[in-house]
Amino acid sequence: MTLAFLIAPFLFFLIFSRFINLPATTLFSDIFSSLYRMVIAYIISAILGWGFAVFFFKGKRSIIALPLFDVLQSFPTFAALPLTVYFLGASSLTIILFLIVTIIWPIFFSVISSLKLIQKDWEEVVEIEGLNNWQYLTLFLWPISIPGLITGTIIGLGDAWEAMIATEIIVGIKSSLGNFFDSYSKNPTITAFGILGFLILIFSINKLLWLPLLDWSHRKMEE
Amino acid sequence: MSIVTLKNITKVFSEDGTDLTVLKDISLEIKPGEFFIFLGPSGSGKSTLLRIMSGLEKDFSGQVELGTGISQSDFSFIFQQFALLPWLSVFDNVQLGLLARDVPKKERDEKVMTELRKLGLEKFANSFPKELSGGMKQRAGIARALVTNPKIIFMDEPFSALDSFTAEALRKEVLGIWHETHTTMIMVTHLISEALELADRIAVLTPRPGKLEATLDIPLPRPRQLRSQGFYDLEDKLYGLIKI
Repeated sequence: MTLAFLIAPFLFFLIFSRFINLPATTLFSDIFSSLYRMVIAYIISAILGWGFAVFFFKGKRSIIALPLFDVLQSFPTFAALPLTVYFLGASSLTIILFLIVTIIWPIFFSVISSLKLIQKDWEEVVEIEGLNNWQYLTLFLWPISIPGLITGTIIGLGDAWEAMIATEIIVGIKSSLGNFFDSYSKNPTITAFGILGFLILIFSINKLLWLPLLDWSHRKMEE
Repeated sequence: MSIVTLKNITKVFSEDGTDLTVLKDISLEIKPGEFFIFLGPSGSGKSTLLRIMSGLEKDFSGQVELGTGISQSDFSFIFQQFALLPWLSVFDNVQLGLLARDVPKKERDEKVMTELRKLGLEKFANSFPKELSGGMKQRAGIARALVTNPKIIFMDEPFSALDSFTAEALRKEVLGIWHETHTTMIMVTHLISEALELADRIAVLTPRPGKLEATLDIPLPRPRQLRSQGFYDLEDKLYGLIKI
């Protein structure tokens, strides 16, 4: 089954490239360029989103920071797209920046939700046993935050696929899935099959990676 | 010579502009090696007092003085609801205090396995808390408390989440450990018979606010005969002292 989920997207895109008379290397290059931007954006978002959540989840910092972040996440980021293109150009950096802004908030707020579930007596165990800051971070906060990190990832990436295609089309960057859809905008059949292939890819990634991880992380937290 | 001295401990909770006094003016001394029990009904602030003594609760007035050479790193705590970290195996839960004290791995492994063996958990070292019964979870909690060789063990109603048979067996195990290690045990409970079975001395707390009603020496010989006349007499005396 795992193999089927690994092979299905590749097989589909291979057949699809024949069907639309596009060299497979061009299609796969578009897909991998977009995926590459997504992976970079995700890694940066996960580190920053998790780090901010751990830093701001409790105490006086949370009283000030959480309402502020709540407003910030509502900021209409696409309004700043022309300005970003003006400064950074129609580059991968612009796309990655917009993907980060899309992915970071679900991760941040989901990790916060996980950390809010910390039981008082768990905190007391940490204090009475005398764990140092590093041990507190790695043995305590990190495991508790994993379900939130994965949930936030699934939601964030879900939003990011859409943001990625939109940003790539608006910015007009070559070698991207956005460019692919833009090129075939007048052909509904190719667009429909393109979207289907895109969905198979996302479904496979979720089924192979994120959903098993989510299940595993929740089982780890069962008492 | 006391190991813990409480001087005028008062604790007030403030919520929505309203002050609620949960502990008022508690003063007493606990001797080294003593099995000391705070007995009181709900609302007498006994768990709060235990947390103040163990350093977990810092916002209070009054003083907690520790005996010479005693610091917070000499404390262990056994929790009512076990408080095992669910994502860690039994072994990893028990070794937490040793990790915090930078004990080398070989020594750590030996100490953890010794405690697990003592409490009949050696086969469950790699199990996770969700795979254990309540009694086994509390045994793991006890192993975690013992592994650092503490000078004082605080126990917050450690048997109240267990069935009566398991609770009885664990009380005996705790008494055995106390006889063996001579560690000072400070425990809270709302059960008179439990307090009488275990304690050298019992402090009775009254509810709302928690005040020290009386401190009683328990002169009964050990092992305690729970159906002896002396036991019944003290039980009656304690019933008379407790206010609800």
